[in-house]
Amino acid sequence: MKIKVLSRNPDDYARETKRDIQRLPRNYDPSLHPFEAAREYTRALNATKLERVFAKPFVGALDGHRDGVNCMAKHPGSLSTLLTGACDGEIKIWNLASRDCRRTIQAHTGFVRGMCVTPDHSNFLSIGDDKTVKMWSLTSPDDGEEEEPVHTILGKNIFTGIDHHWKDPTFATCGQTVDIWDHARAEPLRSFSWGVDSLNCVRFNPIEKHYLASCAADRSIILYDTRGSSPLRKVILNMRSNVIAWNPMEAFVFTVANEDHNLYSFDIRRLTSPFNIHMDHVNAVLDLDYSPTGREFVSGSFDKTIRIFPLDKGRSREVYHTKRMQRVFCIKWSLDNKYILSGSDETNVRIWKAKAAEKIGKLTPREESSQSYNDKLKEKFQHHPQVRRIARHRHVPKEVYHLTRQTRIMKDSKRRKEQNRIRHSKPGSIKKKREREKVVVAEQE
Amino acid sequence: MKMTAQSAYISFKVSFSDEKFFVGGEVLLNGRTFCDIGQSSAIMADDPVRTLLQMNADQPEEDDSALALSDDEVGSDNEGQHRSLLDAITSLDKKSRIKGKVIQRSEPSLQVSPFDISSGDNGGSRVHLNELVGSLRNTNQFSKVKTQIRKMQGRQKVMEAPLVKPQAQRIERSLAYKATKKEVSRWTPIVRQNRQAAQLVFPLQQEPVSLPTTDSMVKTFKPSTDLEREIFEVLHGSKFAERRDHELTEAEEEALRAMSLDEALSRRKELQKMRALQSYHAAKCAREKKIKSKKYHRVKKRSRLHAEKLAIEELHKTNPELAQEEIRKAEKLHAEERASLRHKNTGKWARSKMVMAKFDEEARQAISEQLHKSRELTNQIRALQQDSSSEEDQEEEEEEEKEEEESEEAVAMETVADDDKNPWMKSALKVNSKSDQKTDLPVEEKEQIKTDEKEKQVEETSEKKVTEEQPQIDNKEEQEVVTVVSKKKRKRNKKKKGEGNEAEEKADWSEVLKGEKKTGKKRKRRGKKTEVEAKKSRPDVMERSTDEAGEVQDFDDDETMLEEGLERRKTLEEVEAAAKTPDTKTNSAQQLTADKATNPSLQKQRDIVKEVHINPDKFFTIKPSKLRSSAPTYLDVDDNIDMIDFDQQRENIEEAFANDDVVSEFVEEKRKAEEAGKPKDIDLFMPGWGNWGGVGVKANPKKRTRFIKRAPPPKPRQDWGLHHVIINEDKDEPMKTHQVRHLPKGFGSVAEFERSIRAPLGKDWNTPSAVAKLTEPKVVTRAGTIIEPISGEETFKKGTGKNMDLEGIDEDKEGGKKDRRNRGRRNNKNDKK
Repeated sequence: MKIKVLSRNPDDYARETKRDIQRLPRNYDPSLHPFEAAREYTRALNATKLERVFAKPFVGALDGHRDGVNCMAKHPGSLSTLLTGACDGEIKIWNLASRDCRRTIQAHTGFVRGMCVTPDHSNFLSIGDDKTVKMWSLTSPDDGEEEEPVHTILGKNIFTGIDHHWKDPTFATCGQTVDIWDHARAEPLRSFSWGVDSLNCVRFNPIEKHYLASCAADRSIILYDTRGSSPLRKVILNMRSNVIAWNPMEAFVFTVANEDHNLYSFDIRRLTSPFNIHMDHVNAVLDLDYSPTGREFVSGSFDKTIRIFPLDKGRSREVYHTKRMQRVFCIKWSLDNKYILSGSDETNVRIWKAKAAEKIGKLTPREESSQSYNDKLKEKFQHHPQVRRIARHRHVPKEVYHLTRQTRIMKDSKRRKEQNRIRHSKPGSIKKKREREKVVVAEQE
Repeated sequence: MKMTAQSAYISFKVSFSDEKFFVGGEVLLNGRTFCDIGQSSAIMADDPVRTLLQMNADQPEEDDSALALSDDEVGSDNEGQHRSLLDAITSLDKKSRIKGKVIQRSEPSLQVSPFDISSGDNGGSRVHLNELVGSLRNTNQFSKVKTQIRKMQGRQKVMEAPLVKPQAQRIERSLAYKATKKEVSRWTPIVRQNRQAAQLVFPLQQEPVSLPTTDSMVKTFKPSTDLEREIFEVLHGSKFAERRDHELTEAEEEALRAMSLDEALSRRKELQKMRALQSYHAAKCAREKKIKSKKYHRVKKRSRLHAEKLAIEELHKTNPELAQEEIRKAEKLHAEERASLRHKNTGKWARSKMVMAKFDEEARQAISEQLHKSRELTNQIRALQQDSSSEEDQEEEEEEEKEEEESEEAVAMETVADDDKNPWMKSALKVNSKSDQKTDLPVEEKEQIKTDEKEKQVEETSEKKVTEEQPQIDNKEEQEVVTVVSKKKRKRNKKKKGEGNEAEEKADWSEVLKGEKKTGKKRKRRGKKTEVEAKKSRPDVMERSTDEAGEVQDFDDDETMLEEGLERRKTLEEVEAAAKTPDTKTNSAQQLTADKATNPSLQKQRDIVKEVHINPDKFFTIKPSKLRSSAPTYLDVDDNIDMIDFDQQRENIEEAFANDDVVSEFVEEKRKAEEAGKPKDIDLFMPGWGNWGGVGVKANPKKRTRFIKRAPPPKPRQDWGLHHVIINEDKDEPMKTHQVRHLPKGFGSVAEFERSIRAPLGKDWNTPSAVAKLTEPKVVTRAGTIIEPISGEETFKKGTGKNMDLEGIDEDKEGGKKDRRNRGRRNNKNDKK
């Protein structure tokens, strides 16, 4: 009698050692794997859906300030350290990993306007409404000792912004003028002024380190070279720019957060018009920070949302908001490109993921590969309407939603009016201006 | 200094309350130049006036008169002129005088300054330098001073007024901005490269982690132990050591130098031949080993023994010591045999045979044979020993005498023999000696001789190598083979005297090695796999020969390949031409169609033969726009319009579209489309369901009809009544939501976009490594790693070569990309598979 038994040889499927890769016999004959496009489309659709399902960007909040958080500073050498300054003059130093406050310093009377950590990571500087620049040590004092600043510089005028040179022991403050200070001196090394009485923000270029840029209350952006005695150039926009940020990977690119709800990316070699306008906010943009990769930036706005923009796109890829988050005064992108930190009016500092659906923690190789496969699929089928619809769908607060609609209507009507004007006037008499060309009012030498 | 003196002089007459006087750098008083400040500054540099003064001081006697005269003049005219000058000055600035702000002092000085120059009579005109210099006309250095002054005058420039502050600042700013732009622009290529990079791994400036290479190890290696030291010395000091910048070692180079090209070639040939013979021999041995005939082996063995015996005897005569050695060996063998009881009928085989011996004739015979053998073995030794000892005794004396003579000869013989065995190491000498003998012979003959010699050598060597197992027969056969080959060769050589020797040689050998040739060929074609196979199927000895043969064969192969694929058909015409050639049978059908499609003239001819005409009844009323545009050339010529033979044209068109029965085709197509669009009846009948089933049972047609679901009447088609269109109505509504409406940005055409969608990414369709490559993310960052801003010092570091790469980016973006990838690429774990 013949008996048929199912049998298999373990050599065909078993690994020799545990560290071996699992044997996976495959036949790549395309006839055995039909409908590739359709199957991948389904996968892409599923991946997109799952991404939305897993998009939980809020990681945690740091609670402790007694007033709105006005400014923040990243530690250039430590990912887990964050400094926040509040509207009541209090500075807190946080440990992000454990999400607790390490130090609290009553630094100023009135607002803390700005902070920055020195490149040697030993001290940090703060400015406040009390016309002082104070240098504090980053190492906390012993038990029982009071928090005392290392130095205090008394200024003549109020300081509104501060930034440290990326390498040298010099820093810049802005107020009535842009002053360049040395650690060792109580008087500024140099002062720049160009017909403006109040500047909001000053930032050093992280790559070409002696360049500075500042925003002024007269709607202008001014560039400086700390080596020279005079500023370089001034650009006047339609409305005031609140903050300026340099791209950390592209030396000649900076972006400004403007009061007119937009962000403008400029190339300093061509200041006649921004090379990109980033629209989506529905109120003044109050702060912005570049991702360390220089490909994206995050902005916080008066409309209580945080948005992430790719540098080369005009629209945001992500919007973060919570019910309780009020006006976002300050925002930072962590130096490992994973997190976003926001400080808002309602005294909270929030930690967000830079990619909403990203899994935190170590991924196994299989997870990693499937992740990258899904990402590629999403990219491949991004133009398909269903995929796009799902990927783009976001929930926004009611005000934001209505304001967006409102601004859209306004924009449409403006466009219509312009078109009508062109239509009804002599051909060629009115030149159609591109949106980018309307931004810059004047470029002054 | 001069200037200060002068201004002092002026100031004690005039007080300058206004800067106006200095504007333009000149002091102008009533149109008169007292001093040119610009000039005076120039004077400070060159100082012709000082030299002038010095000269005056040096030569008091000569110039005294002139000076005195001038003094006198000064003395007489000074008073009046001075007054007029003062008047002029005061008149300039009346206001200040009136206000009393100006304090005037005039003090007569005793010493007359040389700068106290008056205009003299010609009041109102400028004092020129040449007038001053006029007094020096007679001095030695006059010409020098003149040239200096001329130079100075040429250089005379007037400083411009400084700009207003805002304007100056603007210029400063614009210049600084320009410099900034330039400085920042050096980042352009890097930024572009990073933006376009397929993958960026952050942080960008990573320290390259690498294991120490062998090179670096070698550089830093210092021998510590004795053994290491010895090896080190051998590797570095001796001439057999490899050298860094040379391909060959010193010893190899020496050997090469000792050998000329011809020699090397002939040596190679010789070696080839040797290898061929060797392989041939090995194959033969293998074949013989397989022979199962006992008789054959017995005969073979006997002959071998016989030959050995003879050889020993021979050896005994020539070299008794060696013979002795051989005998000793044989003895040992015998002893071993005896000790091992090999032929004592104690073995397994013997016992089994014993059992069988009762019934089996053969078994019995075998046992007896073995017994006989054992007896023989034991006896033989004694006999042999006796023989050898007796012989030795006899020949001892003779040998001693011979030895001396022989030893001399042997030395000579040995050298010769050595040469014979290895003619190449000492070839230079030998060739010379031989060439003396063979100078008369033509080249081919020489070759033959050489080859003959080599053949002999081959035989000798093979004889030597083959020990006990090798029978005499082999050698004979081999000889035969070799002689056959050489005969062939000779014939060939005679035939093709004009041709190159080398090629012939190759051809011959390729003939000889036909078997190997094939393997070589296959191997070349199939690559590694066959190589392994070849290794398995053939013994090691043959490998080289196959290689060689393969090489030889490949030349031939290439030639044939070349013949096949010499013409590259790039254009359509060429392809057609190729298709027309009659010998391509397979293409004939295609050719026909191609001809039809591409060669309208041919088509035309055929059609004329067919004589098909257009049916005049079947037509659409279509505006003939396309037709007109297709035949415009005639219309350009105004005069010839009448001349155009419309009939002719019509015929042409008829011919051209003779076979295209477009109208009926279209009608048919439309009918089909309508048919396909109609809803169909659905037959749900199943045989045996509610009825008897099986073979030969017919279902009731009534029941059958009950199961047919009637289709609803078709909806009226949109193109109903429109004869010239087909409107496709079977679009898929639910699919529409999933389909891309517009061509997305970044794609040139629909086809391109579709292609991008069609190419699958997943592991169902691609190998793991391909998947890893296809799905690698554009930006890679590691959690917990701080990404610092890109640094200029690192990027533009000199000597790293990065800079060089970057300069070339504008031309070669791909290269840059690659570079970037290499810099920051992570290892793919899946690449292992």
